[in-house]
Amino acid sequence: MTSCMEAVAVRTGNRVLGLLPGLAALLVALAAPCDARGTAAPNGADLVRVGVLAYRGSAQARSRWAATVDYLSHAVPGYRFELKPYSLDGLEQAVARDEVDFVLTNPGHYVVLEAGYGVTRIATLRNRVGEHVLTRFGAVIFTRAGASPVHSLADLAGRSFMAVSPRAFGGFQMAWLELKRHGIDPFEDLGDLRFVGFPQDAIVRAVLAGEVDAGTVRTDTLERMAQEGAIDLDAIRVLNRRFEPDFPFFLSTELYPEWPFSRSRNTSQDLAQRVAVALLTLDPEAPEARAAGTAGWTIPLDYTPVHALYRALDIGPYANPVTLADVVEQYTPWLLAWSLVLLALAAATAWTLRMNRRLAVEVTERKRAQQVLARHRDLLEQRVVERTADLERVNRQLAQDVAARERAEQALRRSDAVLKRLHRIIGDPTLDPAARTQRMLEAVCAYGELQAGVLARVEDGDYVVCARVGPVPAQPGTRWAVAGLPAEDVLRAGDLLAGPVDHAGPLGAWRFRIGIPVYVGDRVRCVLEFFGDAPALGGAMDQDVLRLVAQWIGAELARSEADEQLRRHQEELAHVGRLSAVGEMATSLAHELNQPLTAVVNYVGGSLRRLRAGSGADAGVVEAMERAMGEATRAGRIIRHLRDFVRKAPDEEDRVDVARAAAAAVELVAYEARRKGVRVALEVDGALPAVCASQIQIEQVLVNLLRNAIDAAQEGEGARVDVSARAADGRVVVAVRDSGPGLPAEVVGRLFEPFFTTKPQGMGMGLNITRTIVEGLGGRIEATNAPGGGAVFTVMLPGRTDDE
Amino acid sequence: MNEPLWVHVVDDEAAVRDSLRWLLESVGLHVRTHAEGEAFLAAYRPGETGCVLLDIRMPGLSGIEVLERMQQMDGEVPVIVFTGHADVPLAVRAMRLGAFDFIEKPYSDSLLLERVQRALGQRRRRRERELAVQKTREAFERLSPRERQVLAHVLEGHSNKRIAEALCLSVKTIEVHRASLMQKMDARSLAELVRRVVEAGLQP
Repeated sequence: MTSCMEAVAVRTGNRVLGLLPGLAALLVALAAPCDARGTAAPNGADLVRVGVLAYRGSAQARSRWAATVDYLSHAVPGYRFELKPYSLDGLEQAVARDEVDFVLTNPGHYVVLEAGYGVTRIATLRNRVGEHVLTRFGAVIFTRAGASPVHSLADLAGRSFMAVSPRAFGGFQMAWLELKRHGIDPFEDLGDLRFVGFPQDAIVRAVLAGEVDAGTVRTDTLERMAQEGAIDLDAIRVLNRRFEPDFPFFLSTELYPEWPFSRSRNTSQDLAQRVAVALLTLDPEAPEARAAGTAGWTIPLDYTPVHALYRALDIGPYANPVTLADVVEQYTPWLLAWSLVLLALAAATAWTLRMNRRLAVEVTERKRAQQVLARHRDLLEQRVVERTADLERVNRQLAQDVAARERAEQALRRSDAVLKRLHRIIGDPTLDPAARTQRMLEAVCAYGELQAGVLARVEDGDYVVCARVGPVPAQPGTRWAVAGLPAEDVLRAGDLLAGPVDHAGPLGAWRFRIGIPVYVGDRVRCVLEFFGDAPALGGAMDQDVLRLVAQWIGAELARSEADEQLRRHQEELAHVGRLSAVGEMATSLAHELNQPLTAVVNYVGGSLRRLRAGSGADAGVVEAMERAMGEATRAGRIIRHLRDFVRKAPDEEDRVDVARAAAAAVELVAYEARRKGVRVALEVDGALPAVCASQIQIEQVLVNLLRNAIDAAQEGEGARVDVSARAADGRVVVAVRDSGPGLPAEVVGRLFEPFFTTKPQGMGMGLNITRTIVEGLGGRIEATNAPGGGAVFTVMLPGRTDDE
Repeated sequence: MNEPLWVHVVDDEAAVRDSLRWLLESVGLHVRTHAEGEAFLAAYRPGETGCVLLDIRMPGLSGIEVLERMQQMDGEVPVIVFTGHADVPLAVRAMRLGAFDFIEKPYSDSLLLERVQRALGQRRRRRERELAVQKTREAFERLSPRERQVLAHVLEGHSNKRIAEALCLSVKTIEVHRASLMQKMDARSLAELVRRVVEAGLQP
């Protein structure tokens, strides 16, 4: 809705531009901030702005990220992504004014924007350094090796120190915290603190040249310079050296998560979701990823260490204001004089302020309520508009045509009859698209006294029959080259053609033909043709009926294509969800495999020793080998099960035994539960009706719910999770109950929103995907608190009846 | 000395337990298996135990808790802890609690057997020393008061003559006591006698 309004505003602006440039500019300016997403781009796609921190200038930021932004335009159809480089302050202002939809900035700055403007992370960068792929980084504090008297951070007191800037996260703030922990305030205790900006190489050179005693740079800077031959690592002494598992570079500070990709508060959830999926599915080896010096993106990491840093330094979102005591101490006499004046003023303004505040609170609340309402209304309206627009257009045109035909009495009766018949077909909710097409072809044949009708898809120069009526020697699916067919002329004309034909090629020998192309958007997708020997078709009115039918079929095609795209998108999202779930469980699953492998090693080792010692291949050895076989099979089953679970597309929907799927899901999470000391029990109450779904879908729903339940139960006493499945009124009801603390009231309403998460790590997509799958299967999911404590997630799925 | 030293296996998974028994028995070891920590501690006799193979992650009593309880009972029995590859911090805790060694699952069978043999070797040597000390103490208990007096002087390095003067006895009598206590303490030389007494921590 908003995007339409803006498009209108912009167009109006252009028209008036020549006359009233000021007014036009005002109109555009007013329209722009309405909705961050909705600005109409020249080519018709919605413009999406990605704000990027350009810490080494716009040109460098563009050359690094342009490919990624172009990739998003390609991977998220219907939107055009634009890269907007900013400085630190510029980016913050742009976020504050809602001038960007997505933000790509360093973790420190992200935390500031998150606290101040509700920006939310949707992915974390996988940084590529040489052959290493890292999702965390830190800073290194160093001095010259050899003569330098500095051996520890405490030795830096009174020394000169060089860093990027007071606001550089990796280029200063990380080192600041480390210095502070060692009793050094860099602004008070250092002899000289110099900030020299980017690039960081200058700091390294200054330290090595003896211009300063020490400095700090981002991790991997030293190793990169050494590899380029610019420096010798032996000439460097790293201060406060730390070692972290799997981190290959010199390090003096803690490790912090890499740059996040985040969305602004007003960016729609659907768009954010699609961007997240596009980023997560970007191939680490793709040129777009390599151009940015990355190995793609991963699910968002935990940024609490960055918050902790800012809290410890009292900066960013945790900056302490100047205290009253400081002021009083410094300005006592002034304050005494002024306080009398102020007292009088205060009394006068107190009332105003209180009123204002009350008003402000009311306005904020009303605004928030309005936003929520507006969002729901927009969504609803958009859906209604989408679903009905095509039908309405046809209906409108039908109505118009009915009116026009009233003037031509002769044609009227016949046209009226066919239009009414078509109208009934269009409005019949019991018909599926194929049956509707068939009925319409029959209606047109009867109306035009034609013997045969064919609807054929046109693809790659071929003519593929979709539906037919009458004695045409072709089945749906039959394929011929278009060249030489009567349809060739229709395609060339791009419009309705009627007249006698010499030959109809493989479609048979007919004397008369009328054909019309079917458009979806501005592309011809199909050809609709009718054949006969004694045609009644010919007048302009009659052709309008045919145009109408062609338009209607085009609209139906467009709708089914949109449905297909939505289905594919949901399938992709579900796949990403399964991949990340398995990724998070990887350690547990490795343990799960260890058990059978250990048993196999023991059985086989024990048997070999007995055989070598010549104690004979007795029944014991045979039994041990059988058991080893059983355990190896078990390991194989775990791997196969896992592979099935992460397979890209789930199986075709079929009859699924929920009890079996539940048992498989419980097995997948079993070790994680064991590790976290949680007992998982599955109880199936009697026989369950089969459910029409794919096994993987049901497993994914239950794995998501089980993993949440295990995490929740872990926090409580006597940790356990109970899964129960029963039949009720022809439905299958599966309940997952945990012994955790239950759901806080403020969380219940938001549980199923995308990107909503209460865990420090994770995408917040699990429950959203779960609900999408359940609703896609015609079911329902509910979250409540159990009477005896803990949360219960209940999934209700329609049972499959036998006639299906 | 030749009584069997038992290898105790504590693991909640039946397949791991049974297969370990099969492997350990293939080299002639005596094995007892337990499905949980409580059951193991109830059946545990430190004196008869050679070593313990303990899974660190178990429901109920965890491997760490079992180790702590064993510490209170007898710290001399070597314990080998099973871990997974992500359990390094747990392994470190186990080693701090005095575990003999840790092995990551899955392991090679010969590595496991080698570690078990090493643990048993250590256990046997300690056990022999314990038995020797016990024997010395029993022998010491059997000495007469006079023999203990003589022993105290001998350990001070005094000659028979000086001991005789100190105890107002004849040198001949001292020689008899001395021979008798050497025999009782099963020592063939003065050096051996001193070592026995020091090892057993005796104060005559």
